[in-house]
Amino acid sequence: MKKSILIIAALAALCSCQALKEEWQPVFSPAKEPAEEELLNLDDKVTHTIAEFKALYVRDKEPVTIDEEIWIKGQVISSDRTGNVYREIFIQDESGVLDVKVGRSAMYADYLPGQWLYIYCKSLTLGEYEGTLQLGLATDESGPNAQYEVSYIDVQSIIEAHIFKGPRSEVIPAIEVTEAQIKAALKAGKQDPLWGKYVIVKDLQYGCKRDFYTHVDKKVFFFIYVDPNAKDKKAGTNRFFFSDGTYSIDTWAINKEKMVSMLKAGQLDKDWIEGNPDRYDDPLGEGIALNLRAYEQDMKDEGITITDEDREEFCRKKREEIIQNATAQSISHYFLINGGQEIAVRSSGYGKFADKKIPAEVLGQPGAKLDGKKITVRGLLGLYTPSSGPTAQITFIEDPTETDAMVIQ
Amino acid sequence: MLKKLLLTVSALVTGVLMYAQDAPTGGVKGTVINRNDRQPVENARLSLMQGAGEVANAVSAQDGSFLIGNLPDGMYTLIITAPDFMEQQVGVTVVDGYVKNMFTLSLTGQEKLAELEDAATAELDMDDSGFGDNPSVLFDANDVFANVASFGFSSVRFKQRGYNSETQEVYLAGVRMNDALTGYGPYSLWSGLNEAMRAKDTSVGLGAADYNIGGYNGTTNVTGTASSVRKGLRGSILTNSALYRLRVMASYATGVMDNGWAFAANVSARLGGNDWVKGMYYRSFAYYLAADKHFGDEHTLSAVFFATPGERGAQNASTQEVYDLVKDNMYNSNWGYQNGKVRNARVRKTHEPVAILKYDFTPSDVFNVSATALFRFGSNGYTALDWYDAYDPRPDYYRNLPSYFWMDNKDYGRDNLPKYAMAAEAWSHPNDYPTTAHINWDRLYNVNRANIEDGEARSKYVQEERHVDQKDFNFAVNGKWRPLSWMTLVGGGQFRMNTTENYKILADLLGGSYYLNIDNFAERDFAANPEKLQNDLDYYLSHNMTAQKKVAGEKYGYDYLAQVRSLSVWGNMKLVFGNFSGSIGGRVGFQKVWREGLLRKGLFPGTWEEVKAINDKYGLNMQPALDAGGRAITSYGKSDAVLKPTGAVKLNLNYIIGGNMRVYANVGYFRDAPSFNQCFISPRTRNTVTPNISSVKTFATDLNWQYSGNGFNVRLTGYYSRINDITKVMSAYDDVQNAFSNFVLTGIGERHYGMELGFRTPTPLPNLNIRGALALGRAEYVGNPTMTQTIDNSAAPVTFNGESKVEVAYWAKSPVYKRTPEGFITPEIDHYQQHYVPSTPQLAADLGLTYFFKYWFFELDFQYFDWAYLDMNPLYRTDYATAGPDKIVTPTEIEYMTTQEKFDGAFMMNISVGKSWFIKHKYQLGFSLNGKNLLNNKLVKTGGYEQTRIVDNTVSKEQYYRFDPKYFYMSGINYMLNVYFRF
Repeated sequence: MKKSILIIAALAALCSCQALKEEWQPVFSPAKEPAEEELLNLDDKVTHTIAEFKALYVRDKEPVTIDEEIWIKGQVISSDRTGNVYREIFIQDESGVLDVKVGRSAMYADYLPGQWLYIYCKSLTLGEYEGTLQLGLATDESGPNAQYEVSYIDVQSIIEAHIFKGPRSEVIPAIEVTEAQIKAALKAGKQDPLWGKYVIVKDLQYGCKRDFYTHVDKKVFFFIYVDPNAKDKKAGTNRFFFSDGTYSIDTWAINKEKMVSMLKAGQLDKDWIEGNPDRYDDPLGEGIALNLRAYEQDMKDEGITITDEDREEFCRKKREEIIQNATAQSISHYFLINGGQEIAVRSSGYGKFADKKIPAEVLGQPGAKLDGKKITVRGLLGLYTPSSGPTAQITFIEDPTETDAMVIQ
Repeated sequence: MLKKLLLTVSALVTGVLMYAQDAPTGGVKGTVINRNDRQPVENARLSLMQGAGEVANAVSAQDGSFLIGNLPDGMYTLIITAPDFMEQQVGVTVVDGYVKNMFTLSLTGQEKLAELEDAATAELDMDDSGFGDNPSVLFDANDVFANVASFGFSSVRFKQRGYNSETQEVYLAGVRMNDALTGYGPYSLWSGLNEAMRAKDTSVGLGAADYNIGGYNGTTNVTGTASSVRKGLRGSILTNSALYRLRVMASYATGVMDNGWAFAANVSARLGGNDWVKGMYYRSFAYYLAADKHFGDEHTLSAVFFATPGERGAQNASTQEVYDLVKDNMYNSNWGYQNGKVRNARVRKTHEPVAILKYDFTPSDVFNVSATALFRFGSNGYTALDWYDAYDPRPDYYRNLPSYFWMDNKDYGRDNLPKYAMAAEAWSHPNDYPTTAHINWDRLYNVNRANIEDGEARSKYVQEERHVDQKDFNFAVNGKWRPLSWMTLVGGGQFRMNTTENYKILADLLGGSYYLNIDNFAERDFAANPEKLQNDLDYYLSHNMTAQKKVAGEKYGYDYLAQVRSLSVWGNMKLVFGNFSGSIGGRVGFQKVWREGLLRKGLFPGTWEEVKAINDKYGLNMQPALDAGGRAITSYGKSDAVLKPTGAVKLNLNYIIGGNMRVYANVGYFRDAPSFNQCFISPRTRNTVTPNISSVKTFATDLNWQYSGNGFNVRLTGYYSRINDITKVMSAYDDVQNAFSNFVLTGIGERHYGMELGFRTPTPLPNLNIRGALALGRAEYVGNPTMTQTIDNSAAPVTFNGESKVEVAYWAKSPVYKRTPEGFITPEIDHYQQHYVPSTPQLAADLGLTYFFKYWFFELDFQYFDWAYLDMNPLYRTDYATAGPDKIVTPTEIEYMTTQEKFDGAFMMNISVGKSWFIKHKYQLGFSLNGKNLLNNKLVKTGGYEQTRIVDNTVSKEQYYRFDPKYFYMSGINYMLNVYFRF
């Protein structure tokens, strides 16, 4: 009997020794709710203002990988809650704005608008993309992403080692900028500190300037891929550009469902199904014309005579392919500030307000010139630099249909 | 003449008398009893050995008694074997022609069952594979192969003959208990009630049974009633290092008392984690209460009530990259620290009581009949993380791994070596970077608390609890009648009515105040169409177009009933003619299943009429979702029913040669209805029935040779079976479609063939036996199934080059191409690689030594396992996947995408030792200690699956790449110590 008691006691002792181990925690002492998040105050560490920090970038030359003990701080002015900003955070101090490429989606509850962030910059890289200075990580210059000067900070341990959450404050109010300031910034180019700021712009009216390519008074800009997964995705034969009017698009952007219905309804056929013979000589007239041309050329090379039915069949198949591969579309709507400076309002097709309508009174009548009501918009001011020339661009942070990010004057 | 006759008779009588005087008169007799409760053991086999040869044998009678007579003087070894007991050997000396009275010979019960059954029901998280499995091995003490294999092969998740576990027929009190929705064995319903559920009848393979004609992968019936529980009070305490730290168990049974009553109770608790898989734990309890009342010899009424409430933390599979980084093949991504303590995101929480009422009528020795009503109910929940518009919180999500940042193959476009190095550094030191390698619970709380909408904290991350709550009513009648001495008729029928509610609740809002009941997958495609986002459209419409806010404990997401009705009748006739016996039986019935949606999902609002009514009432312009045939897909209300006939015929032939040898053969044909889960492509979202759903047809046969005598016990079996028209439904995220997808495979064919050998032989050394088991077979795919893919957001199926139904062209086999002398691949096919049924070794061998001496036992086993394969993803084996983005198929792509991975073979060594003592002739104390995998082999893959995902954003755009597969590994060296106390 003694033996049995001893053995059982020994076993019980063995088990109770184990009780301190983590394996018993879920059994006997489930985890309690964590305490409120501790927010840091690292003001003592801050060495540079954002402007001073951005000055380290040698403009138009090389991205700079920081090898000094540099700390900056800034207040979050962006939010990706609506999906219009994606995988980046804009922070601002009194001296300027910095785009921090934190490669996470849906961070709006991790880094709240108005919250101070402390960034330990050593070993991070400061670079530029289309006029905006960005803080991220270095890219491999020989790799397929070499066209970008910085890459996302998307390794969890790097995020935790470099970005620290500070106190939460009120959201920084947007600053009002005038047409003149925008013009000046465009003239100054990429280095102007205005780019990236959270701004209010008044007196926008739906319309665009006539130019060599678009003989219209109102326009949108976007492009679609025939095959988003194609080997040479950006080849002319795989992209159709749409900038020759508004295509009856009356939403801020186009989500996938809407895009499919537009394609099926033939709303975009004008450019890429029917083709426009006038556009064949147009350097931007790549899309279907070049595709059809390529098809015709192929047939010609093989000594095959094609008919109009063959052309229609080709276009029918191309249409099916495009519909099958349709994705959400980001759209730029063009406005004029007081009838003068052109500015685009660009919204993501993946954003939550993508398919919400722009008020008809803002759009005016199709074909009419500057007949819409003027609006005031609030968002991030960016610089877009296509080959056709630099353009100012507004990106909404909030939903313009549910907030005062857009107000009809 | 008369004189001659008298002389002859006289000579014969004299001769006989003289012979009688010379014949040996010695012998041995005694009574075999159960050491635990001192009750007689019937049908124990006693084999009297002299050297290696068997001299005589006997079988104990109902009272446990036996007599082996006509023995010459000498020294013998008596080997006693009985089902559920460990073998016992004793020395016997016969002198002076006397019959040696051994009085009582006690046998000790097998104690290893506990570990076996728990291992078989350990929670392995296969959710994101789309595949599910619950391997188990039927234990049959009467079968020398199953006796070894069921213990020895369980750690590598061996499946007998390569069959899936749902093909095993498991009965409780005569009622078939295989899960109504999946077909899986229901062992988890009574795990932890080892004492109460110990009594069982098992047949191996195609063998016939008394409670049904059975299937082709073994049939077992757990008796379960109070009278079947071993009499007495017993308790045990167990610790092991591979599953849970502590098990305490107690049971008490009265046996049948003089007043005809029998009572039994069994309770247990299994608690704690283990040495190998962090986050995996048990907090499980079990209770069992039963009573029998015998009314005379003819009537018995039994009532049983039991359940195993509790929770078990699950283990997840990960990729080899993760295992290599953390240097631990047992890494579990399901847990993380919350407030400094371990918390598992995936926890199985169950409380499913089973109530049984059984009536036995035994009017005579030649006739008996029983009727059983069984009801299973309660809840079965399984937690998981769910999130809305937030970053994937799983630590081993592929975008968190070093390979996402850099890969040697430039075609992946992953070129950032510093990021790779930093991620690898963090993963390699999980203790220093716990938020990299484990779930960051604290962050989830912080995010939820900070996400204020309309003054409330809207949770972005929640812990959901998916429920599969069954109301399973069964009624079975089984009878047995022996009208003639050579004929026995058995038969019966079973009716099943199962209504299972599938839903999920918000188990934990993780610091938030509410969760919005919308479909976040739908939101991405239909953000501007709020009706389509609603998981409960009716609520949204009737609440002023407001999405539903849900709080902790409430249902959300989906809610539907799975309805299953089945009826079957069966009969079997057994015939015995001398040494020949046989049986022929059949089973016919039907199964009807349908889905009944309890919510109207916005994506699938209803028929034309229903949608019109909604539009008219609320002034909307919704459209019904139409399938490829233009038919409206619904989510609310009843679906079409799938009605399938079921049936089986089986023939068993048996011939006994010379008393010790038996040759027997079985052949059967089975037509089984598809399970509910196979009948619907996406039951969480819609009523759509799997297109072209078929019954599974199986032809199976085996031929067996068995020898039992002279201390030898051998079974050799050859088997063959062909299974056609298997359906599989899998769900997973598809990167090409950028959507949550459902893959339906129809027309899968399998062929199983091979041999089994089990043996136990004595050695010249007393009490030392050699035993072994060998399973050598092939379970391979035959023919190519077709695949249909749908995405949750869309009514129409996905098309591949214009076709919605595509052949999985490389499912059964894949080509291997010839190489040039320089090693370059050529377009010429060299041979084909056959593809096999996965996740079980198809070669399993065990060779062991057993030694018994004075109630000590020692066992040493050497094992080898090989020919195990990875579960395949059908998408990789289509022409679509092998063509890649450029739509050009090359031999390189075909080989890369379609090859099936074969696991490495594994060698293992196990040891067991045990002993029991009697204390004051009243109490019994004993222990058994099992050490497994003594060589500490941590490289044994026990299963895994290919992810149903494709890397499509390559640089060259010439080919797709696979996502890395995920694996489960066997733990290294582990022990189980069981100490038991009985009186």
